[in-house]
Amino acid sequence: MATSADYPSSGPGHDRETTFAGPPELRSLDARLARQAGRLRVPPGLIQRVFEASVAGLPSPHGFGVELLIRSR
Amino acid sequence: MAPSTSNETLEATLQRAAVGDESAWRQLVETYTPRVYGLIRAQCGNADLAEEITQSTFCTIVAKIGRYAELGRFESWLFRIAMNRLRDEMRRRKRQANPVPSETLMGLAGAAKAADNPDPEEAQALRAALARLSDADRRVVHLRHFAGLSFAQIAQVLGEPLGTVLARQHRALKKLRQLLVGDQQHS
Repeated sequence: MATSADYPSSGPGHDRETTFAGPPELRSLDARLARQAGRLRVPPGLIQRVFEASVAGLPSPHGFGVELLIRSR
Repeated sequence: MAPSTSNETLEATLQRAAVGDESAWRQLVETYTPRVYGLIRAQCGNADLAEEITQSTFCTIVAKIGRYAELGRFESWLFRIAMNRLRDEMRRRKRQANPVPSETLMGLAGAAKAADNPDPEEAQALRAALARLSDADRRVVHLRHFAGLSFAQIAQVLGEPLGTVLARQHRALKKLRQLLVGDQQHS
């Protein structure tokens, strides 16, 4: 499974340290919020459902897939 | 169809997805679904609605990815669509006089149910404090932590100057700290 780490310039935690906006005494609270976010669980099967719901709208990579299928029958 | 690799850049994955490469699309969905869901779940506090908005967001991306031209701004684009979808849905529900559950208005209030939380009391205090922030300040916190965006990206999503976003984050953390310290003193 791809993770945010696959895209070095993105993802949770990206430049969190270098762009933290605030004094040091707020840094631990910032980290606490990050932990809170990290505990949120994605419902089982959601990724597959999103994939299936959206992939139907993708263009055919060859542009003639459906036509070819009909002709072959 | 070229196999995807972990070294592939996001833009290359997007290009493959735009021409209908399912493996590229799966990669995008696997990478971004948790972040989109997390953000919307945090914002609305309703798991079912968050799931619906997440699906709708990706369907919109599929429909528009062929015209996506903002190189280097995909994440801002994606999360802006997600936030707009949520806003539209909340407006629609309001028009239909379908009362929004109170937990939805509480922002993160429902998140604990899905969380594997070793310290529910601490988490509960944090959620309660978050719910007392202004909508604008809370949105910045959610975009930062649940969507995992940088401040520059948050500024792009919200269409606001970077300085405003940084000030909101600072104000939000200060307010949260005051609220949490106050709660500890009263308990």
